[in-house]
Amino acid sequence: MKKKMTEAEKREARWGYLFVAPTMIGLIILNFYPIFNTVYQSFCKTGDFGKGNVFIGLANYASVIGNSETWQSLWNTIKYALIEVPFGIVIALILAVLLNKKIAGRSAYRTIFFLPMVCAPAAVAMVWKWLYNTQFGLLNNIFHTQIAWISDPKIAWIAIGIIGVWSIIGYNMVLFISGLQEIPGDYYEAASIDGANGLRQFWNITVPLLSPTTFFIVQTRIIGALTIFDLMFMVMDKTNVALPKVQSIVYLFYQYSFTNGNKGYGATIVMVLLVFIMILTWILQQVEKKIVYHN
Amino acid sequence: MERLRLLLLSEREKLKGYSTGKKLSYIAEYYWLHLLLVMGMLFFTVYFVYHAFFTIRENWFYITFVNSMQDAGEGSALQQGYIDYSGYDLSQKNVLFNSACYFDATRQGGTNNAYYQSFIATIEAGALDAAVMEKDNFIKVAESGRFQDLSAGEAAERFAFCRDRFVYCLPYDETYSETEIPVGIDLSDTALVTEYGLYEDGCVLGVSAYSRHPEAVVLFLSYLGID
Amino acid sequence: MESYEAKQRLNKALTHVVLIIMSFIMLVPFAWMILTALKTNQESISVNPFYILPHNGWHWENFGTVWLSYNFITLYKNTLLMIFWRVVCACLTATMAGYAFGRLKFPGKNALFSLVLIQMMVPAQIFIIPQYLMVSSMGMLNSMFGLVFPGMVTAFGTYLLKTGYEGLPKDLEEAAMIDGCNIGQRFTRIMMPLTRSSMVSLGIFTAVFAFKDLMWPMIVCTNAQTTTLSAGLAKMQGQYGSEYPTMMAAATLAVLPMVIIYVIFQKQFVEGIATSGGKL
Repeated sequence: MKKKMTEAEKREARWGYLFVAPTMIGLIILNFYPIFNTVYQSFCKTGDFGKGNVFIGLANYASVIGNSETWQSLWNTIKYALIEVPFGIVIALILAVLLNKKIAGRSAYRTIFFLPMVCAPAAVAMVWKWLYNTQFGLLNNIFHTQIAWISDPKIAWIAIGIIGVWSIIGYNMVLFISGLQEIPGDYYEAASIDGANGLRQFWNITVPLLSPTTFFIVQTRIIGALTIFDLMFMVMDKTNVALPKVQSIVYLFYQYSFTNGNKGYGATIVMVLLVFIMILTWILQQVEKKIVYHN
Repeated sequence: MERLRLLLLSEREKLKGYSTGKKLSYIAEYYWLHLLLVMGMLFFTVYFVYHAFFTIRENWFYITFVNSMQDAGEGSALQQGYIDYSGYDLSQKNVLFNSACYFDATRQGGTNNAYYQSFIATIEAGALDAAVMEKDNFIKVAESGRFQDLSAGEAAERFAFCRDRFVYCLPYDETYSETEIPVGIDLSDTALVTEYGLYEDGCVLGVSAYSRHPEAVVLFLSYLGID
Repeated sequence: MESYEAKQRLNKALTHVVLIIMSFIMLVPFAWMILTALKTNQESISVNPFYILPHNGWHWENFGTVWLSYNFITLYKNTLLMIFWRVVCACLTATMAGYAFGRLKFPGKNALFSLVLIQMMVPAQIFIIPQYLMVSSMGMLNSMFGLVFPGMVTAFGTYLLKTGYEGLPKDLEEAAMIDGCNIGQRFTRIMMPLTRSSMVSLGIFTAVFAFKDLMWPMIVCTNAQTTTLSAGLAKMQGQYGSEYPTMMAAATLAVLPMVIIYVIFQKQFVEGIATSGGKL
């Protein structure tokens, strides 16, 4: 049954369309045209030596789905996300809460935590390679071990996950701080008068009121972690024996689309990833309705 | 429209009693966003029209020197020499030389992937006409089918004159060819190495598979003394 | 009472210990970058992990060499302008769309919002070639518009601000509705100022991503006069090859304006508490 809209509702809808128009038009031109292009490519055998696209139906899908490499990469990506998302969020939340108090040197700390975000990627890569180096690395030198941090398939995914956590803390922290600042200060004052201590305040005020921000970070970080690429590329050499057990699905896409020039196959990998993330997002949105606090 | 007219009328009514300064501050306070938007649009339109009319979009020739040891980009002697030699009219189309591109396709990794990706993007967008790089690197890129097969179609005829310089590779895509095909032209003994010192151990030129001006590549080769 | 104070002091000390340890961990690459910039080439590739400080004198002249070999003024100018425009465009479009998605009702809202989410789910590499073709067919290569183009709208920012608007209390807007404000006025006068800290974080994110974006400027700007820092310094690799000190000196110089901007922005954060704390 369709309800007829009242005049006020119509007006609201008009404003709504007006406000989303710039963003939606921009996204359609900048992003959705390329996405449709990719969808089309996934049904094609593409461009060898300038021959152009040849329509081959579902053949790419059959070979991507039938290839164990795809599923191994997807599993690697999930494992990576299982490290990066929870640890990156919990550490950032703790730091943000600490930095939201009135403590000495707050601005200095915030600036320090921001620095990794703008640090030259080459410096980041060098430092981590140096830390993880088997012979000369700092970690092995300190602990007097001989662990092959990034070339032992059993450990490499954890080592990569740690870099991921390290590089994402700053971003998550900025978001948490802004979320914390939108919580009205008088809630805490009222709680202090009632005699609630720090931890109680945290559970009763911060956690529920911060839950929309937290959910936002969880959602975007899950998407971000599942599309991880640069990190693996930065520290893993092509000759690394652990690569098959660490490479993410976007890394696999890159291998096919950019290195091998098989764009149709690469596009199909993107489609598999897209469907996977869409299902996950749908589930998350259902969970959000249940647990996130809305005032 | 009717609502807008009424709004204008009522606003004018309100402003009637105010002094000029107060009028302006009223408008600035209540309509700053509108003013900003209109000004932004105006600026943008002028800017856009200016660029749309006064920029040269087409290229005569676009070449990238990967991993070159000397600058061979915009304003280099090499570029100037080519422009003089070809006699291209720069007021109509551009001649682009780029040497800020560094990657090693044989051992990809590290932070150089941005260069590789942007290189591939300029090839696949059909902008780039030719690329020069070291032999091993070149063969690795050529295997992916980004350079023209110099034994097929028009290219075979066009580049037949430098057959003895051909560099071969075996494509990844077995359905295309199961034997080695010529994809590059060896330029190790040309001015690129001897005079300009762009490469130490020789270099190979490939014609982009999506190039729209292969005749300009022929001209570049003859500029280097190959014909 | 005294034990309460002692506990407070212990709490503060613990907080500082945690923060200092974390600061140290976060600072390592940055410190490495600056220290390497001050070393000789020989030292910079030394494999001994404990040669952290330069031990053949501090080579400040590396910075001078780099400064003179690049037109840093032009590069700074282009980069800051690109960042400025991207931040303005992103904040403007995202705050409008975020408000509509977060607070207004209109048919097809969920469908449109899922499009916003889908944009984030695909690898960014697939956008580059089509976007390049668009810019080049508009004749906007080597221009500021070309640099800003892919950053004009932001799916991430739209989602971020939608979350921000959803979190605001309902009664504020209802009061304004009774006062006879239309939706546009409610948005510009009441709601938008309240999401300032979300806007600041979106601004920071946009600026950082614009600053780090290497691939796009490299593709659209073939001209040294129009390119940005990250892409302009790309030449460095060829000229100085594996000379880490010079490369790191350049990277340090490139980062400086970003750090200054952040320090200014994060002051906004701190002020944000003071103003919104009392009001709500």
